Amino acid sequence: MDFSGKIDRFMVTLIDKGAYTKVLAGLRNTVTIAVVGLLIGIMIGTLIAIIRVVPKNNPVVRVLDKLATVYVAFFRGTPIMVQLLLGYYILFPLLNIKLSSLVVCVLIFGFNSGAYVSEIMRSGIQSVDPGQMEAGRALGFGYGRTMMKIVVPQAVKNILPTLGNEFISLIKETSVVNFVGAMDLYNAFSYIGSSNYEFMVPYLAMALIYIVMVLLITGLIKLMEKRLRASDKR
Amino acid sequence: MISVKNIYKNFGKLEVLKGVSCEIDKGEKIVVIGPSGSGKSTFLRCINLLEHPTYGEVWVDDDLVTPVDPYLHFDVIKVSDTYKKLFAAAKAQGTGQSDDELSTDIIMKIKREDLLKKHEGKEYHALMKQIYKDNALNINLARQRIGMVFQQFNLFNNLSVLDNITLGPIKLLKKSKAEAEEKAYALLDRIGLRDKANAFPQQLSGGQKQRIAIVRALAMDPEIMLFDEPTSALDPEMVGEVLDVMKELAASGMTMVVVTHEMGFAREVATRVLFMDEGKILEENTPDVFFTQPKNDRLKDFLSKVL
Repeated sequence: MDFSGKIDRFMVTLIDKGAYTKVLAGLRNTVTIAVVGLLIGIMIGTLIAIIRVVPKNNPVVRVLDKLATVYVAFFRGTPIMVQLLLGYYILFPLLNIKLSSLVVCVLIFGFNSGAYVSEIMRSGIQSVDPGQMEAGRALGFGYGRTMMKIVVPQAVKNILPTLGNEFISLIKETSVVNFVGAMDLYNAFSYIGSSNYEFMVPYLAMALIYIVMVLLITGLIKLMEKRLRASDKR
Repeated sequence: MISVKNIYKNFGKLEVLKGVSCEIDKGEKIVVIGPSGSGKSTFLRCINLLEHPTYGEVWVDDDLVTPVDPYLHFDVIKVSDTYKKLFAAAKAQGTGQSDDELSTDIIMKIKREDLLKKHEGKEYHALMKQIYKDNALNINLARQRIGMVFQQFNLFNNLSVLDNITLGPIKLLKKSKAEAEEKAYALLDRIGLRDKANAFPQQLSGGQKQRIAIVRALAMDPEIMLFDEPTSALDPEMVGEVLDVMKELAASGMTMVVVTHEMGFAREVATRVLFMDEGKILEENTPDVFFTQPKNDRLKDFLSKVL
């Protein structure tokens, strides 16, 4: 097997024939979708997590809680590819909203990640000893203030590292966005592959890019965890 | 200063409290003892509404902190549809009783058989609302006057010892930071832990945590302190230091309600000892009588095991 020859041809297509612009565009889309998607996810997730942890002593909250349960069940219970297809070909056209495939991807990834983030936050909050809430309430603080001053600061330490993992999942899952025509790394590298009739090196390169991104983020999470643990001891 | 009126507490089908009443006067030191599962902690937690009683009322001075319990207000029962119907029916039958006797009988029947329904007519609901409006106090305000110490200390893990103590006074009592800290240091001096002001709860021993938890409650200048088995989670050698702080507090005149298994503390400090079992107060007395001449059989049995 002429491995170095394959690499040469790959490099020629990548650099001299300008395929790197496609790779960069794919990379940009991947990062955009994952970052903006996570931000949307955090917003939706926070909202849902609040609905799910507050006491259910009000009918409006109970209805919202049911809706949130259905939302989470749908987005966690179907593959993201299916959600993308439903969004791109059915939901947005039905609502008569014209959006580019990239925007659709960002939105759907945001909705999807909202479901996961809400669960991360819910379990993060619920893993804080209930005694902390009781002690705050016993002093005379209301539910919301005890939450914000005592429970959430402790929950954040559980939540942040897990959010990092969610970000990693998002980065990897972006590899399905070509199903709705958005440019991603798969598009870029299979373009190179088909122009050379050689797919091994481009796909290995693609894997390499993913793993480098993931390792970088993992490193950042570890750093963050270390900081958080250090603040525990002080 | 606190009155607990006929409270019941159900957890699902489990009845934990079955009609507990208690008047707590200023300066009293009440110790509650009883076997585990007797409802004594639940009783304590109902006083500051960490548990909401299923029936019954809790009053702090002249302020009602629970919802109105119609069964505790005869005038409310009297304007209910149920009462009116029963009264008219009895009247039609002609039992020969006077109206007052009849009325009392029907009220008792309604109470006994729990006959009041959700909808009892306009007059009934208006009166319930009125009683609530006239007496209700926001529970958060009431809790500022009721200090609580937990078995598991429950210091705020994300705050330093000093911040644990000053959080309430600064945010709730609107004290200045300097004023709150001055008071916090004075309290820490009292328990000999000034050097721990900047430590975090994780760095403290159980005894230190509990003493600081007591101080955190005291920083709010409460009128009464509730202790929920304050020494039960401590290593034996640390029980003494916590009890010493509590004894000093008692000597300073603080009103206290203490759920504990420390019989020595009860004998030494209590002005009144309550014995609870199966959700009821079965006996209460001054400690000398309580421990030497118990009347209730279950109390006798309990004391023979723990003394």
